[in-house]
Amino acid sequence: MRVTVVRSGGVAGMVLTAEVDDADLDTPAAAELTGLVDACEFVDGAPSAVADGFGYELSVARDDGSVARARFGQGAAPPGAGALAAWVLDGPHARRRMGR
Amino acid sequence: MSSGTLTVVNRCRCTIAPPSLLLAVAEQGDAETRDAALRTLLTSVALRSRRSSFGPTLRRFGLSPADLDFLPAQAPDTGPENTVYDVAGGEEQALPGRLVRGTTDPPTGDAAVDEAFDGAAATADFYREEFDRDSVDDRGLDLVSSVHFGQRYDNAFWTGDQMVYGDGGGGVFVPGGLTRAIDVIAHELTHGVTQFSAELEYRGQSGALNESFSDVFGILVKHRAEGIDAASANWLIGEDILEPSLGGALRNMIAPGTAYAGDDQPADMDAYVDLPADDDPRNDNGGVHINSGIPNRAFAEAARALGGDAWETLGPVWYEVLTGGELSRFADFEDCAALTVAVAGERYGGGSVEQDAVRGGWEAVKVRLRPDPR
Ligand SMILES: [Zn+2]
Repeated sequence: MRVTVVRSGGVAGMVLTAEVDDADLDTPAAAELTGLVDACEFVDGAPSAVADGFGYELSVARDDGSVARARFGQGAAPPGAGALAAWVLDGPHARRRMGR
Repeated sequence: MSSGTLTVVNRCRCTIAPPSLLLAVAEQGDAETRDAALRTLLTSVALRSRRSSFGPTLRRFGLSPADLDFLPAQAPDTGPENTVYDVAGGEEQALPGRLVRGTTDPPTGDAAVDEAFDGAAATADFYREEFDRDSVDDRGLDLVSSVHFGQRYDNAFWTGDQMVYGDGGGGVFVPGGLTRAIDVIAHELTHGVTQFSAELEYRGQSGALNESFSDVFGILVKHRAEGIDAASANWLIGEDILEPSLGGALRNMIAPGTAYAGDDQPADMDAYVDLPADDDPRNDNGGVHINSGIPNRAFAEAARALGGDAWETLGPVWYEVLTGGELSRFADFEDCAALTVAVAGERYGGGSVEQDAVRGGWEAVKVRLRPDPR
């Protein structure tokens, strides 16, 4: 299972992509990630209502080939999406890359 | 968040009786009451810096604006309230948080609080002193800032009625970086000014103009606060607040695309990045933070050619274009270019060095100059 978070906008206007694959994680971290993915509703939320708000795309590619995706603006994350995005973006596990 | 919930400071806006009531007293009371009411009325007028608009009322009492000169030239507390809140790691639903510094309070020692306070004050002072604008909305909107938003949050933004600052430290900004840069603070507050004036749609070229006006007034607030000359300025937005591994600044107005590794701002229309304004976050609402490099550079080239204090040379031209009512909310770069050239001509004369500089700025970025749209 590969989880990808794209965050764009903000005052910096940068696109940040963070990606994590559960195959690369130790067992506790993989379990945490699975728990967060299971708790996340993959539906789109409203785009950011403010200039310089962040925009997000969260996608999960499962090993069976299925893909789930959610796009939403800052402050409009669907249930569970904020926690999953934060875990991937801010945690120590993801590979991060700047740019479109 | 309404100012009514704050500790009431004894300020003109809260304590003056309605002008209509004072007028009635001034007209009907005995001599002593009349004098008191009139004096209060005149004081309120002076404090609100609206002498000119009060001409008809003054004339009813046989007075002229010059008769107000007995009042202190610089009345205290003429600006809006300036308050800072600590949202203590909370997010949108927790705003604004706990009040930690009011208008007349001394510094708190929390750098984020004090920098947000000072940045809001400097920006409001800039707009009032340079353009006679009464706060963000030109109607005295109180300045509200919330700091310590979220966890290591790498953003600062204007919500539509207040400022919000994360702490940074999330991999993009250095910790504390988002309140440290006065141009970033002024950039965000200028989104508020645009909201209450041209209302530029935040997509495509009108969105890039929205971004660019924020950078232009952001840098002008910084230039004015630090006495920077347009000829020698480095034109960097958000200098030294990014993680050093990323780069030195958020944007470079004179050399777009060179601020940080991966900066993809175009320097002219030949390199315009045509992105759809869709829900894909990679497309940045049609490149609002990308193509803003083009009008940014047009301004910077023009201001650099003129040299001196850009907030006094071209600041008023860009301000008139943003707030004068002629720039459509769907304006594109050519609309904006034509208006800046026209306004520069009105202000400085057709063929003036200022108008030539503005024209040269747009030519440098290869935006086609149409004849005066009016
Ligand atoms: Zn902006």
